[in-house]
Amino acid sequence: MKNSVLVLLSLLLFACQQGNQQSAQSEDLSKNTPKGQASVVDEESALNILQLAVKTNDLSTLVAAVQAAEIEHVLVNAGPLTVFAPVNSAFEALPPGTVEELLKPENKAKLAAILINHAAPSTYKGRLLKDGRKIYMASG
Amino acid sequence: MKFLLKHIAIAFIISAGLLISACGSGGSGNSGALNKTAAEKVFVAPGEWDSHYAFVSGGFSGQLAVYGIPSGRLFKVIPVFSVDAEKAWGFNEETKPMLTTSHGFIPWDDSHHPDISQTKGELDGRWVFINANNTPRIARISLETFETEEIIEIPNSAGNHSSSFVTENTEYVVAGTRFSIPIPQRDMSIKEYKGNFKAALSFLKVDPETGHMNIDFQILMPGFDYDLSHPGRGKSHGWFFFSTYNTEEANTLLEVNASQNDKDFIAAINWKKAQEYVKAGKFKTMSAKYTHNIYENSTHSATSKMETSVRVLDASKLPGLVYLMPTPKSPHGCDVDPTGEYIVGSGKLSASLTVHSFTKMQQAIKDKNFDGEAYGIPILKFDATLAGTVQQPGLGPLHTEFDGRGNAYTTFFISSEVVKWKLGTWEVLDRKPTYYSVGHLMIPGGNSGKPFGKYMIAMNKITKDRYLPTGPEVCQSAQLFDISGDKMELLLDFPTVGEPHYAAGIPAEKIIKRSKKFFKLEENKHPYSVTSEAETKVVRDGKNVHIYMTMIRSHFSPDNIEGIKVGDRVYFHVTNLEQDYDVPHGLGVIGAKTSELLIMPGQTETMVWEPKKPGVWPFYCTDFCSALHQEMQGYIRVSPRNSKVKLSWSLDGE
Repeated sequence: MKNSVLVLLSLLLFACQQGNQQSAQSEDLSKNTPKGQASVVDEESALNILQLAVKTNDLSTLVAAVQAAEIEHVLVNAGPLTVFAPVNSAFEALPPGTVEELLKPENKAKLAAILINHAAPSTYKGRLLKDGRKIYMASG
Repeated sequence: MKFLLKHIAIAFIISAGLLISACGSGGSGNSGALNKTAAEKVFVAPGEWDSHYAFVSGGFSGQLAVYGIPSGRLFKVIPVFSVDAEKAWGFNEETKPMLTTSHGFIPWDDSHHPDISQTKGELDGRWVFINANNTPRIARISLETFETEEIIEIPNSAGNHSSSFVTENTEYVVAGTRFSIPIPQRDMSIKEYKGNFKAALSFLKVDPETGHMNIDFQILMPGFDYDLSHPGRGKSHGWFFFSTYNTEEANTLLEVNASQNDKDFIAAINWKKAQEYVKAGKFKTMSAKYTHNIYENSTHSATSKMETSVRVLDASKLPGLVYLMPTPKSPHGCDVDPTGEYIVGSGKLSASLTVHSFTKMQQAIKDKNFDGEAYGIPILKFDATLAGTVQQPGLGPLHTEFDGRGNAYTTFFISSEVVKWKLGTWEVLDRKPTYYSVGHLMIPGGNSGKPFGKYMIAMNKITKDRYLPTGPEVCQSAQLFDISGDKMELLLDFPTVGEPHYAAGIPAEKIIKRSKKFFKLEENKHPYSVTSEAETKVVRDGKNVHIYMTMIRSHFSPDNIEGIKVGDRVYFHVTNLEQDYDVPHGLGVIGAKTSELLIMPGQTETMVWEPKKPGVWPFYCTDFCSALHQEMQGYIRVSPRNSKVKLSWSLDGE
């Protein structure tokens, strides 16, 4: 049964190539913005969270983690987001091997969830960050 | 498991069957190779950019729409002569002065002929000029902000139609009247039109740095109707050509009475001579009231100034200023080829196109080869300026543009087609139908010294069955052709906003780098701007209350205001504190008799609100700005007139 399915599929591909090559190929129309909004080139606007993090030496582990989790686009979104950004020493304080483990491709989703748990919708700037106020994270 | 596999197999077989049939019809040539090519030529993949901008006038919408070519996608409608609630144009306090005229505040007009500024005969992509027909005005639109920056009213003019075309270094933008009128205006019998009504052709000087316009002089002409105009270029730089009709000077039933003469004229105006006459003081200063409105990006506000006089040169009395070239049958279009040698007159009622030669015109002037005069203006002999005639190309010729390869393209309204013909040999090379009743056509740079002859757009007045019906009013359309080959190839027709009366096009790379992303807060000189939440306040001045408000994702500051009374005039002066591209915020207030505000990052705008009833009234952000957009709201408390509630404001209880 499995074999016959494969045969049919290969026939199909062959037929298409014979008939009209173009309709058989489906173009990847998302290729122009591979990182979503993070692909936008804009050197005039105020720095977004991601750009700020990249420029901050003490956040290099966080940036590497964000890139490994492929959530750059979340940090450049209109938000508003407040990121409680762990500095490099915070990562270093984790049990040995934790960061390395999380950076593995198979743990991408787990890493993304952890990082998003550090981002709160809304702008908690200055006086808006008050005692007794509940802050919900983007992860819910 | 077996059961599941079977189902998968069936699903595959079905989809395979469908696909095979789809492939089959694709390959059988049902849709034709040509159609596929056209689709590919107009397809701009998601995330990619069009190669050209088209600035398409809205005709009776009074606006200017920005499209991408070749996709035909609409990017923006720039409000110019008509109020626009979407962008608060003419509704907020900052832009109301832009629509002020000597007749007061005018909320509508009819925008016709956009033209892009030029340097050395080439489009430079700095500004678009466009004319208002009804209450005569010329606007200048910045191609950095894509906003109208200046509007100047044209006195002594009516039906400002032969406008707003620029000379090859944007020395001038012209504004020619359509109607002749009493100049100065006065109460007189319409029957006394002939010989008494006059026409004014205005030359507006453009400041090469700021773009600011002022009326350098007007040329007073005989009481004909003036239709279109174009500047000389290259060898004919320094001249301007205007088509005339109704040289009969009829004042009623022009449909018939303006078609009695076999020929009308193209008026050739030597504007360099006009400058000499002005310098020599040969002008008359006429008192005239007209407004000059300028929007400044630093204050985000417009001011309106009333001008009081204009310099007028009388064509009847100043030799060498104007010559008339007889042109058959009520010429409409008056188009000059890229070399500046040929001036094409399209007689609406003629079956042929008349082409004048600038070189022959110069010779005829030198030889005084005249055929009489009209009101003291020499009429050149028809044969003396005639370069050639395009014989019987179609019915109802209107407008001509050029591809820079020696070819011209003319629209024919009655026979609904575009005809390509060759300059010099006057032979017809190709014709393509339009759908339907085409008016203007546009080739990017097609009326400059350097056309970009890849695309041509024909703008149609009637579409009837071309799109899904939308009741009695159906859209008008623009029809895109590839003109890079020997034959024109129809690629696309796309619906337009209002009447696509005329358009100006330009390669995108000439504009995109200059396009502004946001306004810098530190450069905001608006008198009511505040640049931080700490500075926000509410100030009472009698019955006027000024709220100095800010907005940033995702709140207003202040967002609770009390102490407003019925009968107050409340000014919401709102500054968008964002310094990020593409993050505008809006403001809507219940019961406001204006539009929303739509405020760009770094900009300040003002809405006036006059509460009529006590209560607590909400306001909110109208532009979906962020994930917490729906939280971006506030309350304003209105108390009775005699209330003792003190003025107060807060954000987050502070």
